[in-house]
Amino acid sequence: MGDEMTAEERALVEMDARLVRALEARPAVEIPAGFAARVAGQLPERRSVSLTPTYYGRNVMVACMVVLGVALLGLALDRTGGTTLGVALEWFVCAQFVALAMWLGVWRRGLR
Amino acid sequence: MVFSTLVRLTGSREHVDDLAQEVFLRLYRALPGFRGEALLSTYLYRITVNVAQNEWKRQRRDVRSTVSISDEVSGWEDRLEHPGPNAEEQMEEREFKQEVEEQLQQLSQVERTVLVLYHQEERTYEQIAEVLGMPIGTVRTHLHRGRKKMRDGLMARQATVEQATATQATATQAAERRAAWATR
Repeated sequence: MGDEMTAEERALVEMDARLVRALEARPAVEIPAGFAARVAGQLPERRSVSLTPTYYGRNVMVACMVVLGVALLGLALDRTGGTTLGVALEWFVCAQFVALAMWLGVWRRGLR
Repeated sequence: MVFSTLVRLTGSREHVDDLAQEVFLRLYRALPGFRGEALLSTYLYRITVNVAQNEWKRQRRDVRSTVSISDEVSGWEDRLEHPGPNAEEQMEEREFKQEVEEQLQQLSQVERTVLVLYHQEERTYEQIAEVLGMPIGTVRTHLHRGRKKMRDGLMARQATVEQATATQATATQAAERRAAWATR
């Protein structure tokens, strides 16, 4: 009785091992030639991307600097601008002009 | 990986290149939404399993008989090509593998998928759980249940073959005895 159980267990273990070996063996497959090209042919067309830079931001900044420069000139030539409000406005416009000039300088350095 | 997994899961080499193409197209379409939470291989396995399951459902609807992949791998010419001392063992091994494939196709979709991902693709329990979207414990259960069903099926077939062989041997012996009696 003990021998039968041992033999049966041995048969189970051997069957398990054979089964696992068979499952681990990969089926031999042959990838057809041109498969990659066939898949690529099914992909949707990509839109072409424009590589020409537009510099819209830079152009707007330069235009603003020109406007501010003209405003500064106008304020400087205005002899009646001695009021506190006039001086404050001059400093405000000057500060904006300087800030834009600094930004443009950093932007150009970043391009190099 | 994709081809071999599809062949094992569907049990057929028919339309495998179409199915593989579908897998890669789905992967391409899904890539923009891929955020890197899982490995790309997990994503690919998930798509492969889904495509295989769709194909399996289509096969069931069409009620087609599956072509054994073992038959397609080696024909009779290959079996007779190199006769040698191990030819019988090799043939026996090939037949055993064919029986394994047939038993694999008898399992449920989930059990078959778990077995293929675990043994053939060498995925871990965690990876399989992630691919199939189920708890690790469930993966283990399906794995053990599937292996047990296959083992029981194979042993039952082996017992049937042995019984048939024994019956044939008995019949042959009886015929030989009758022939010997008749010549006296």
